[in-house]
Amino acid sequence: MLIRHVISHYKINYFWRQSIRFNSKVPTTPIPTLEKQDHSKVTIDNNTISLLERLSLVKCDTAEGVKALEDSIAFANKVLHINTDNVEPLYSVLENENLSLRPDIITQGNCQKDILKNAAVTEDDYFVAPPGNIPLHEVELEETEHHQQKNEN
Amino acid sequence: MNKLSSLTIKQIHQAYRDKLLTPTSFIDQCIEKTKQTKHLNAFVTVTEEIAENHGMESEKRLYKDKKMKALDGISVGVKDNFCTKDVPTTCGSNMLRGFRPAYDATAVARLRGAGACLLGKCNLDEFAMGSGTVDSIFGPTRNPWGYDEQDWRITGGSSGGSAAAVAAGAVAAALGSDTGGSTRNPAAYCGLVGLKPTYGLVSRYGLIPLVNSMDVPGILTRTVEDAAIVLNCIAGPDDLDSTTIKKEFKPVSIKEDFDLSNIRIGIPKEYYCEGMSEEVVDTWRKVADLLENEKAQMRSVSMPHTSISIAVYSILNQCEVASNMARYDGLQYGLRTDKDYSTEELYASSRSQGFNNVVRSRIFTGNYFLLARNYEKYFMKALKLRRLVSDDFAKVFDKDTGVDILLTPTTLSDAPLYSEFCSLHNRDQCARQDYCTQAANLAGAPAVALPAALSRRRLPLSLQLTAPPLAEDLLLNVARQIERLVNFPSATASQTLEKLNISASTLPSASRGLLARLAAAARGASPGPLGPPPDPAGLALRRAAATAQALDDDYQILTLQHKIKEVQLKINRNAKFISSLTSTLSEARGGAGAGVAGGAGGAVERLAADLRAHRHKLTAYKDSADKAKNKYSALEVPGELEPGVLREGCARAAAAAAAAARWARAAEDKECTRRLRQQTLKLQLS
Repeated sequence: MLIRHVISHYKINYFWRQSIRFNSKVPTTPIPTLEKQDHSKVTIDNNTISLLERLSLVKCDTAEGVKALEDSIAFANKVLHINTDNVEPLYSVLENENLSLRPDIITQGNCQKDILKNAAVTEDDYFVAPPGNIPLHEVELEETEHHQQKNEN
Repeated sequence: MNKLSSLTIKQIHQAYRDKLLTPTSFIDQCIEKTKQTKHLNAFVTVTEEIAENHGMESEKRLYKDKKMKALDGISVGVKDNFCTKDVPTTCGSNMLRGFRPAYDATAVARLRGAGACLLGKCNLDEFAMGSGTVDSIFGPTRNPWGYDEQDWRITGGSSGGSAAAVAAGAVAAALGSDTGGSTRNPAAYCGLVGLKPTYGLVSRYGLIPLVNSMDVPGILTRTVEDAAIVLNCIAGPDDLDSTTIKKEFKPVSIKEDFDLSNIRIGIPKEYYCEGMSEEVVDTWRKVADLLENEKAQMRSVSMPHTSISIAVYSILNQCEVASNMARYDGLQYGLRTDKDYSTEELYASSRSQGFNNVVRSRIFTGNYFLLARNYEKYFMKALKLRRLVSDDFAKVFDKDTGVDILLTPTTLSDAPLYSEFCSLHNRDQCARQDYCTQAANLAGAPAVALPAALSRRRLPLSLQLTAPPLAEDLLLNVARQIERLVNFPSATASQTLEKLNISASTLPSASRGLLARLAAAARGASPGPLGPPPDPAGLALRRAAATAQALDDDYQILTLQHKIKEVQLKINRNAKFISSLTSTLSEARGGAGAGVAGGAGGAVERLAADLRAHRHKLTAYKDSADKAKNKYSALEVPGELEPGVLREGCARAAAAAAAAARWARAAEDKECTRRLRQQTLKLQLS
């Protein structure tokens, strides 16, 4: 039926019926990477690990965690050989845009309840923290012992 | 209909106007859909009550105020790293389990301002760190394409929940976030359009930060036009985010007849990397050929630093993560353990419990790169390399010597199986998954992933377009043309209606019933991509699809027949008018004859005026008859089906016109005679 023909014509998926010319600008083989294929192993010493733990305030002392760190460093090392002499660092892609700050006018307030509502522990109108100014000594000591044990094993 | 689920925003709005659908009933269906697709794990929180309220508000605006906002009654999902007032916002992490923000993110607030109905918060990799949506405390999200309970495919990530929700038809659009490809990657694996706007075009206020210098809110929809509609609602300067571009945002407008012949499209050869599947490269070639057929100017271009960008991205990502994650200390919000020996101990234990190993490892590595002794070697080096990558874009988009837009693949393959994906570590996976996508983030350029074809496994394959910063209009218009050329989503009934310029409300009730059934069938059936028929459910779906197809055809025939009737009605009306006109003319003729015979000049003048008026009316009616005929012929109905009445009508119109001309001439003659007679009289008198 003719009307049917009109409809089906409208629906034909041209994509796969088109003859494929393949003379396009897409390359025929993968383009080699500029990354340096260096397989030398990166190892991080225990002091660095405990320094990072203190800075990061997270534990990452498992063998798996250390390996992930070492792998990430090895991955980063692949591009350090690229020459960047006289190249300025790019901090923000909007470096040429005129970004403005809003006027220093109070636009919000009376939201004490909102601000406190997500804190696990509050007292009166305050957030509550344990005693400060105590470095993460004990944790660090435990870590060191743990690492030594691991090394002895 | 080889696409999971259903209607575009325009179609939904048309259905609202035609009263085939109401916002509340549509939202109910969406909620129902989230329940039916619970196994996909697309949502972290389904905000059923909120969605219903929003739907009611839309309905009120629509039927009481008779006004409809751009997204009224449109269901949306929001990735769970956007703050939503009083709705849990977890980032897929134990750290923020139960966190309820006191405010809405700007992108969310603008969606709401445009009338969108919030259906829920979507799953993601913890703190958006990943490319599979497998690392969430709520479990992995499953891809609706090629779904099999035993061995399902990942959605990609990190906005996988948003993608699954749109692909499954639970929402019409969803917000994702895009730091290195987190919107485009899941869009590619789920057969959707995934838009990453220019950095700074859409406000990040309330988007929980991952990498401040690269994060952008992303948009996931089923069509390019929908993405443009959502973008127009959320883009533009925001006082609450100092990194939004302060220029006024010019809304994107999609032109169906966009001319590709002036567009220079670049194929950056470095995007063909080791490990890219043959199918992806073939699709890339086919679409490049299609564009060349459309007279677009295709050029091979080089962006030499593409292959190192992924490592640069990885360094910068981890450095900024280390800094950004410092805010989670368990005091003001978030998980707090009961260690209370010291503040630092509380911090360390809360953070170790709250973060998964991927997040912890990125913080750790970031801090390593930021150590005083490594700062220059890694962090500054990466920033300099970032400029090289960004300069590649600037050069390739040069106004005189460059191209207007880049065409590349989005991912290296179709969606991997969950088991395959998990065999690699998170960072290795990200290096593989984000290869084609993250460079646009380093340069801040807008990019869109769009489905181009189905792979041999009947899974979506996707291509990516990248444009210069703030060229969203060009980007989406070219994307629309590709969408049209590859015809990934097939035409639906309402598109056909739109094409025929018919409003569904004029249809006979039987057709309307059919349309409703069709819509229901389309929503219920997810036919195309279900692979070889493995189970009764698959077969049932196929049958449903076939029924829907048959209904679709029948329905379209009905609409055509109805249109014919409508046109005939108009023609009859015209014919009636023409005959009344003829009778008036003959009366006038009688009057004029008498007038001339009586020598009364006034009658002739009246006759001339009458004639002018009739001639005017006649031209108007001829025009409308022509229009009707044109409209009719635009339907592409062959000549033999053209109703005789139309031809008759036209013939009669022509005859009437001839008669009118004849009478005009007669009137002029008479007028002339009268003047001559008067002159003769004057002469005789003188």
